[in-house]
Amino acid sequence: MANGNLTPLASFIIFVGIPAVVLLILVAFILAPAWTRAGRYRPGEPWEHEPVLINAALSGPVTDAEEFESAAAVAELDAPVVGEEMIMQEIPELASTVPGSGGEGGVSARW
Amino acid sequence: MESVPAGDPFAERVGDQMLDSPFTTPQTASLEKNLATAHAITGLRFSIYVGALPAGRDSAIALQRKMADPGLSVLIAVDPDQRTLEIVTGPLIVERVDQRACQLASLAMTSRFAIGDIAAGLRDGIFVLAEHARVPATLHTDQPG
Repeated sequence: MANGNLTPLASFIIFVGIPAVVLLILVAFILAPAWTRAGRYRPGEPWEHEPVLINAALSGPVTDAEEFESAAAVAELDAPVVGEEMIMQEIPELASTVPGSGGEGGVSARW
Repeated sequence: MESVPAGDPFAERVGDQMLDSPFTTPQTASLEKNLATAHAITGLRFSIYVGALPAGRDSAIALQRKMADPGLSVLIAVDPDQRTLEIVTGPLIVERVDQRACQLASLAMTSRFAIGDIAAGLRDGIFVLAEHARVPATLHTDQPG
């Protein structure tokens, strides 16, 4: 390189190595938000998050444990509830229960 | 609506769950704020459940009945795997949060869910339900002044 000519190694670094590094940096910048973001839901893909319950102060004793088997499991969590404090807690898998009609309203929907 | 106090043993559990929560921390904070606002303007307790509902609506009803005050509670239960949404209202508020309001809210929510935005769908649904259940301010009473 003393006479101004590049060695093969220097040529490789300049024309291949540096562009490759720049490309990798660009790719990292583009994909970084997707790596750090909490898993976005895509309809049709399996849901792999833990169940969450937000703002639910559950009552303590279960009056009819047989009928509300799933609810009994929820009550066993013994989550602290202070006034209107928001809580988020893990819910164990709900058992398949068929409670009778208790006058609740609402709707069911699918997407 | 403060967060769980430091030093509380439950705080650690909440922290652990946040790692696997379907929502980011800002999304969770936003949802909590929306729920608090809905409670403030209606006096009803709105809750959200996102997870498996093995028995579909029956599971949602069983969960709603375990609320501290089920008669005055509204549960929005979402099962992303089955792509089902269940809105369960307490027996005492079936007229205040009627079928029509629930259908409108479910439409607002499912249209968001279909494009993959669970948090925004829940936010929209809470607003619709709360707006319908809102008690208008009374300007005049039947008591003579």
